Amino acid sequence: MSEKTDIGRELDGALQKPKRQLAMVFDLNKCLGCHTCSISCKRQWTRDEGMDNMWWAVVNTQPGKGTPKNWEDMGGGWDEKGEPRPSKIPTRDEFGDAWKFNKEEVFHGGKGKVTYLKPVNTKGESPDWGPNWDEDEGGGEYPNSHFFYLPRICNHCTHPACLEACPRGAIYKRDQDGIVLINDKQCKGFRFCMEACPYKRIYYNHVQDVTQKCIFCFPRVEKGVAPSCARQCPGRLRFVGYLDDEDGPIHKLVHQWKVALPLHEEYGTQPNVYYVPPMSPPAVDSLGKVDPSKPRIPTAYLESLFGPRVKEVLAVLEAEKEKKAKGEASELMDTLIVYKWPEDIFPDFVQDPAEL
Amino acid sequence: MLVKRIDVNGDVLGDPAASVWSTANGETVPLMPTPAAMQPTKYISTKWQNEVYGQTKSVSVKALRNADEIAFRLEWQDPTKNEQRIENTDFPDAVAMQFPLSEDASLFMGGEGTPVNLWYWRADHPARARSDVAHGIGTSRVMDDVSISAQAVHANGRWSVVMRRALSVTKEAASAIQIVPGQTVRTTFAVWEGGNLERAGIKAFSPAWLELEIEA
Ligand code: HEM
Ligand code: SF4
Ligand code: SF4
Repeated sequence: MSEKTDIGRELDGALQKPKRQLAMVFDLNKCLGCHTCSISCKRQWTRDEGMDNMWWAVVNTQPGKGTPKNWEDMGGGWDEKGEPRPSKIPTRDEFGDAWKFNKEEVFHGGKGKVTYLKPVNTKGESPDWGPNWDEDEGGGEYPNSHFFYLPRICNHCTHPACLEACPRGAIYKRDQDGIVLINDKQCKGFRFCMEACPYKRIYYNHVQDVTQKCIFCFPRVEKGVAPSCARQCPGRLRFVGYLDDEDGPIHKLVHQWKVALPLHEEYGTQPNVYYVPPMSPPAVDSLGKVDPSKPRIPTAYLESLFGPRVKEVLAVLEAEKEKKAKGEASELMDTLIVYKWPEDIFPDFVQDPAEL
Repeated sequence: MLVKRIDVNGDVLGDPAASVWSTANGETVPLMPTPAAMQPTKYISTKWQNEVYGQTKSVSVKALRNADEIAFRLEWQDPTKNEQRIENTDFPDAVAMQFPLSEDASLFMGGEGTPVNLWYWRADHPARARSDVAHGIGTSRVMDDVSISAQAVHANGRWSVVMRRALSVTKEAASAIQIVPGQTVRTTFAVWEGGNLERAGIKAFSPAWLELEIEA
């Protein structure tokens, strides 16, 4: 991986704001929960030794416990006064580990009819959790059961708790694009970053004794190729670009239309991944009667994730959708729809990697 | 403390159970927790200021040399043997010695222009110790070329570890302590209780130099 730069934190140094910041916007109204993003990331980056349990890009069903399990209750990040909030190191089991199966026995051992595939975790135990154990369970009671998908990666934060926790200054934020990277030559596997990151997006490689996480596909980005999770996404909901590019979709969604919100902004790390919150059909009573005044996904729940502006954002989305339905123009809807791929979704990163 | 010369084979010196160790001079070095306020990041000091750590009370130190090697035998109480590093919360037990590479190197892992050499043994790699150089808290760096062999036993709730190295080293010579017969060297110690998630600056350390007189 790339060499340490002189940007970012010295041991007691101040954090430097990067010249430019790359960001992503995920439109949750379009996510299919297909996990193509996670798989493309896995194929590209996490196939080496010690990486088998790593999913730098995950997609969680919400409401749900997430990856790692109950990460939202673990602490980390900064409190209202800007002091670090103590946290814990999430375990392999909480992340869901990587299971091994008795494939030999079932497929080649002649026992295909008397036994079946049985997963075991690294400890040799039968697992009771996995990276997507509660997939599609969601929340609410019939007939108001509901769920949506929440893709998550490292947020390449502007006030990165991981970077500021490391006693060795092994984590740095690149000046040219704000990507947060762990220098694996400098890292000694102390795992304070795993504790401090409130989004729990850092994994420990026990073979190499270093921690590893999403790198925003920086080698692709440097060649004008979009990160693989974004390029491979069939839902075409992962916008990529510079926050300050006023013509790009990121700036439009975050700053102009203000419909893209950070996840758990209260954690204080100033994440650079933003979410267009999911709209939902109206609630239904036990007799099947529709109540248009209440959304199926409780607004309070969405506010617990995306903050107090959720209602306002949903109203804007609803109004613009109406316009579009009536055949009127809506720049916002056109931006979210992504008529032309890839130029409408990551205009600065349209290069086809197969043609490099 | 006098480091006696005994002309036995290096492999004998390297064995923590060898009877030759009963002839060596020894010292019980008291340890204390590293202050939370000295941790280099706010996260670490905030997290650990209310936790109990660095509770290893002392380390028993013995040392011997033969014609071309020096060996240190370190023994300390640790009822839990932590040698695995698989689960994210696994931290192996560890011990270290610190040698100043310049006259006025700080006890706290040296400083800029005043480096220290660290000999670091950790239970997940029991047969070798690492030689690190540090010039201040947060700067330790592994010197791959310097070889320190080790042998360890955990019995009766105690670790006994021998670290052994050539008296003088030629590769990376500036980053490793040179042991010269007839002269003295100073050292300090640190112990990490892996079961308590101790690593990096979270440890017990000896806050005074121990003077070693190397028998000619
Ligand atoms: C108040 C005293 C001390 C403090 C606050 C302190 C702090 C730290 C910190 C923050 C680190 C992690 C960053 C790095 O790798 O440089 C570290 C590593 C280390 N320290 Fe100290 N230290 C102290 C005393 C000592 C002493 C007395 C020794 C040895 C006798 C020692 C041996 C080491 C070693 C070997 C490492 C590297 C560990 C590894 O690679 O996992 N330290 N120390
Ligand atoms: S999401 Fe976590 S790992 Fe990523 S930059 Fe923010 S604090 Fe660091
Ligand atoms: S690839 Fe796209 S649609 Fe599929 S889960 Fe990931 S973000 Fe959702």
